[in-house]
Amino acid sequence: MQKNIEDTLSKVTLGEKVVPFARLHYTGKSPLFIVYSILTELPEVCSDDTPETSVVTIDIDIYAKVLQNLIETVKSVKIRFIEAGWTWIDDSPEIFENETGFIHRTITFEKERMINSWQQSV
Amino acid sequence: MAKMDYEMPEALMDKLEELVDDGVDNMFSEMAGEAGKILYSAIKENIRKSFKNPDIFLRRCVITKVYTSDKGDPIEEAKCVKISFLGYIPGSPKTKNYPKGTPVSLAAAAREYGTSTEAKRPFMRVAVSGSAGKRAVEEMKKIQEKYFPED
Repeated sequence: MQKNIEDTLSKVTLGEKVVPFARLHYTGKSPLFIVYSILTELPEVCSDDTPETSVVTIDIDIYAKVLQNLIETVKSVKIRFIEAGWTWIDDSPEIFENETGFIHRTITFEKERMINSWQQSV
Repeated sequence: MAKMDYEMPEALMDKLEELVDDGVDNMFSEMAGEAGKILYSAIKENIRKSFKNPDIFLRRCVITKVYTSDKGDPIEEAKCVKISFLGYIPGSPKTKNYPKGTPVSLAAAAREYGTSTEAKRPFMRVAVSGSAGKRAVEEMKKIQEKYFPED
């Protein structure tokens, strides 16, 4: 799952530059970055009391100092994740952080997967 | 030449008309009210786990009565309840943007979605997508069965 998300994120660009990203916490200095996290994973289809598929929900958090860069990156994230078979669930409100000057928006996606891949590490 | 007759589900249509006359709105109101109560309780439970000092958030987290949505809402004339945060955090700094202090809803959103310096601890969305969400759907089905009993 991590590979799938990171492969998709590595195609998210602003101009020709890939937007830097990290899982859970970004420690770099870029004025534009993405943090992703797995929100939940819930069993969906079960047979013989055993889950066969699960639905993974992920958050893609975009932080930008410039509003236009945030807007462009949100667009690029949606295009890339939908291309990769994810379903767009919703967007958070835009939040301005007074202390850091970052504008922040969360985009949530979901994807169903077979349980044999659930047994692999997320 | 082949011939086909169409039969409309008249009994069901009569029942629906009867329900509209009797106020099918009551069914939707009941559904929204019961589902809202389940989710409200799950959200409050999650607040206890997600915040170091949950008291202010528990006090300021409110649920409305069932209301009918207006034009401009995502679905017009739907029966709804809203769970939201009201007021300001007591003793929080008063700034140009927030002259009355930090809104509780802003602090709650920062915890739900995280910030560039603080990790997220979602408590609202996980309540809806988790077992409470499933319980809410089950409860709504039960209410539907009460109005549309299976023959």
